[in-house]
Amino acid sequence: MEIKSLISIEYPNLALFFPELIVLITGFILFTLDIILKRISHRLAIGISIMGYLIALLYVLLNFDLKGETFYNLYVRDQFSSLLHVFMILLTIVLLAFTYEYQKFKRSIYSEFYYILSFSLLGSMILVSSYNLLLIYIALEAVSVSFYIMTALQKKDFNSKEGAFKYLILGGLSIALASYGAVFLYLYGGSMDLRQILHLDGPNKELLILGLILFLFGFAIKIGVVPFHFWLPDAYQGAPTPITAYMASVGKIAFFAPVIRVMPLVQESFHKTWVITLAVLAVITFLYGNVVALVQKDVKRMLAYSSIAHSGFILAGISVAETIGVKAVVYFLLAYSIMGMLSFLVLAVLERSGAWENQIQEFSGLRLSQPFLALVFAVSLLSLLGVPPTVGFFVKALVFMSLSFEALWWVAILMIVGVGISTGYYLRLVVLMYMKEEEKKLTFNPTGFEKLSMAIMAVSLIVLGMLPMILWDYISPLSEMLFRR
Amino acid sequence: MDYLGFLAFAFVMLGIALLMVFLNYLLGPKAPSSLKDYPYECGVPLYDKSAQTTFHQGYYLLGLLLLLFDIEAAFLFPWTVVYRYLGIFGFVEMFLFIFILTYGLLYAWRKGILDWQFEEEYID
Repeated sequence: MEIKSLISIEYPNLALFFPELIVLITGFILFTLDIILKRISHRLAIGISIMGYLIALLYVLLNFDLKGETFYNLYVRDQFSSLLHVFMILLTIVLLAFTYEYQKFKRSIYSEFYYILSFSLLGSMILVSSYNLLLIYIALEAVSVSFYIMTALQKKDFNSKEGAFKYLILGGLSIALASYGAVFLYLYGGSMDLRQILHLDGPNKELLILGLILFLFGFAIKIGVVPFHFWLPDAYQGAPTPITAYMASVGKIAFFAPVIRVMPLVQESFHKTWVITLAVLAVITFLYGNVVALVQKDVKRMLAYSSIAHSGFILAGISVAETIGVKAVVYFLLAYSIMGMLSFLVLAVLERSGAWENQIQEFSGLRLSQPFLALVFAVSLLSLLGVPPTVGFFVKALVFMSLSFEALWWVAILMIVGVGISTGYYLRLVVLMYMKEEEKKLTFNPTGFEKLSMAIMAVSLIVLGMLPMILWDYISPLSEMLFRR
Repeated sequence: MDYLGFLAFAFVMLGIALLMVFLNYLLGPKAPSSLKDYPYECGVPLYDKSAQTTFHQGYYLLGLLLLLFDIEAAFLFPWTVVYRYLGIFGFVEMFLFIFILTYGLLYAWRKGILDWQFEEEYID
């Protein structure tokens, strides 16, 4: 056989891949520094990370409308990936303001942390911009393996190791399921590209449905949808709190993105299967998450269950495979990434105050000793609950509206029930902070960077809630763009 | 239905094998002695009665390093076949690949995985 007919060399268009390349190079510089230097200077490592991420962010912002495919159509850049890249890079930069102080307090400083963070960011960035099953698989592994390692980066903490191990085992299972699903999809379509597979009107529809369901189940484990959620509370509780914040924001965006990319490709022939499967999963997820969060004593675990419940709300939007569904889901995802991250970061700062156990009663009277943290935490909790001036209300209303387009009234009604249940635990914390007497005297000050980034996130939650058009003007055209293709 | 004979064959095979083992157990002469149950270790007395020691972490890490270079070799062979056709492009790609793997080795070296002179306290 002639080799030339098998291999065709296409030089990659690196202009499309540039942000990922910068993040990769940043990771490699940090890696080299770790090898060369005896003891890495954390200020240097954070400085290099932020510099690299800022360059990547600037490039994405300046070339927001860049579109194209490269690496033999493996890699796709469009407005969808650009928007998610902007959010993921921004949240990673915010995270870096919190990690060092926390690690210093917990006496678990690792120089590996910085480049594992940048490799996981690289994986997430590739994951949101690919239609290819093989590349999705590799990017998924890159993100997950980084998460397993980062979950365990806490010295002398049994819970952290236990959570990481559970995450590793179930993550391995999810990868196996997803690749098994990919096999069936390939059998059906004869291609690795999701667009070609799902546009094909082939004879063996059952292979397609089986493959898609297995593929979705693989992602469902990663996202933490309810029958597959067992690792999530343990991993979120055991992980160092800034890492939990990272997993609940950037991780959520990354794991949801391929599912959102499948939404416009849903065909008429399996449209009903898609709607029913995802709607049922969504209802189970948000009801279970909210009910179990209600009885938690530990606030970090409670927020982990609230994260499961929010995955349910997002899945309810995903079951509506139409333009309005994509719009609602993307907005919800971005809004949740901010509020989820903010709520966990407040805990990360509070944990530095000495004997802090994250128990609910410790929050009583927090307004007196830490007025700033109490305010920020209240804003994030109200946004998670969905109280009108915050963005949480707007995105929940959007998902509700998209459900009405598909006439999924039972999901919509149960969603209201779920939100009603969630009032119990979010408001209890706010009441404890603002209406009870002080239980614990906390004497410490968050650093300036921490205060600044928390303030920016809290303000953005309120501003996006009052002027939702700021983000809508980006989300609306890109959702229509995804459907045009 | 075409494979029913095959399935029956598998069951017969399994049945005969189980029967043989069972007959051996039933009819074979038994003369147990303490020395017969003693594990064989090159004719010397046992180091460890339970033979259930934990391995040093270094073995696992060395296994990982072995995997690293196994994969490198597995990718190098097909590359040599198409080397002339790929030319400078393939050369640069392969250089990057090996460079990244070498970084892995450097990292392992730096973190002391190749250092097998254990301190006394680490050995159980």
